[in-house]
Amino acid sequence: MLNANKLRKVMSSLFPFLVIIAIWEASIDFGLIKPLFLPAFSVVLNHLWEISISGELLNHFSKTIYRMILGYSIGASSAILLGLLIGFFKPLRSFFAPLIAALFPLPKISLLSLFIVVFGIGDPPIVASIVATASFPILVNTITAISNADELLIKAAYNLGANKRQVILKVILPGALPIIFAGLKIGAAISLIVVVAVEMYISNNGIGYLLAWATEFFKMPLLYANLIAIGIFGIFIFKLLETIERLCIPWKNPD
Amino acid sequence: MEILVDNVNKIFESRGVRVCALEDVSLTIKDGEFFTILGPSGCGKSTLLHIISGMETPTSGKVEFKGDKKSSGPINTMVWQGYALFPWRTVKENVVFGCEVRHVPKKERYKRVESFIDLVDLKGFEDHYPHELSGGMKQRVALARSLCNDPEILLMDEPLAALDAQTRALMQIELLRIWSQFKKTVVYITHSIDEAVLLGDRIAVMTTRPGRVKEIITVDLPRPRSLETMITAKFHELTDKTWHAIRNELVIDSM
Repeated sequence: MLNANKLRKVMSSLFPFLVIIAIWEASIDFGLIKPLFLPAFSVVLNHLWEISISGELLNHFSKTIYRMILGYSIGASSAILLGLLIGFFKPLRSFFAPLIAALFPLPKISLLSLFIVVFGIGDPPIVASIVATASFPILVNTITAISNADELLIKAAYNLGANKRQVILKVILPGALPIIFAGLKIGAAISLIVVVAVEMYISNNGIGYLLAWATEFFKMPLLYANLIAIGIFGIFIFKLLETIERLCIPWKNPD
Repeated sequence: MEILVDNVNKIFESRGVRVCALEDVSLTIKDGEFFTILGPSGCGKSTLLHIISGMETPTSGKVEFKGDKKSSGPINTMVWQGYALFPWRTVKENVVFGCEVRHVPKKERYKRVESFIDLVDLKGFEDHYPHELSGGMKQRVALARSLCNDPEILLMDEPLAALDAQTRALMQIELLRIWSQFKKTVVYITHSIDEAVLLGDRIAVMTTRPGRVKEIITVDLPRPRSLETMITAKFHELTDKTWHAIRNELVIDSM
């Protein structure tokens, strides 16, 4: 019963893609679009299969994933730590608030040249770019979550006999989890964007590099195969984070 | 435990405006008494309750408790109008909170929790989260959480105000049933005349700002009381009397 339902849900979310693919394939067949700009879906799929089994795709993806995981975990953990410190200590908040306000809107990608000067070529400037961009939404959300903790729940906990330590551990931190998690999701989406963008610009491997290379040499099937692979990878990351979120925050209303 | 409220004054100051919330409030609430405080909105009755709980300090005057401590818990525990349940804790985990932070031995803790969940008729909902419960059920959980904490005095701040009329009537009777088993001192804030008469042993009628005790009405209705009590002549006589006491305050308030 549940499985039949699940299957139907999967089918209905796949349906729009099938429609797009059908239109795509048909417009090539009827000569509406030149295959030079948009090769037939079957050609793209075929190419995707080829680079998958040759190991080329995996090779580039593993470089990208490595950089992303490294940058994201450094960025997220330091952002949460700093965010908790700033959230709990009011004097720190007034010190950091103007700094964060000034740095948040700065497109951190503009720091890339600086990172190249400082870290040289290779993984470090790419990882540094991810750290710089992904950490901000996580930092801001953590500070917001802690400093806007529910006053009524804090009062109720003290009234029931909790001490300050217990209020922090049993009330403020669990209450902050949903907002911190929202920041973690935004941060993950940003790291994927940044890693691909920076790889296109300064790397000689990774999925972004492959994309740039395909564009430069006008290898359209490779370009589209790449885009599809990145899209699938993005969905995978999002679903993974959703699952972790459901496990960490089981009390969150599912709708 | 007996509560002595002695000449309590409370003045709030915000943006240079001084508001006198309570003026010369003196009350003696007897041990084991169900004492209701009735007043129009903004008369400072919640402030008075918070001062009794120790969460707020009076500008002048004092609150004293007399009598031997009979329970294992703190002197007072609040039941809040907004329930103040921890959304990340199940029913069981909410009810246990007070015992948990006061390090009551685990075995005893869960025995108590079980008996109080039983008492408020929530068997079978132990592992539900608050968002899965109706308003009436949430207030039952809140009541069980406060009782499980075993306080000398139960302070209730319009606990049923957010419920619909039918649920509210049922909860009033439930509350009387539960109270009759414990006979703890209860201070109950309400703005409903019917509720004050149905529940209380005595009613303190308060004036609009500044909040003063205008009159104390003794409710000599026999116990146990039920919804049928509300159709007796004696009940109407008492609500009339209370209505006359509070009437002028409402007129002033609405202008």
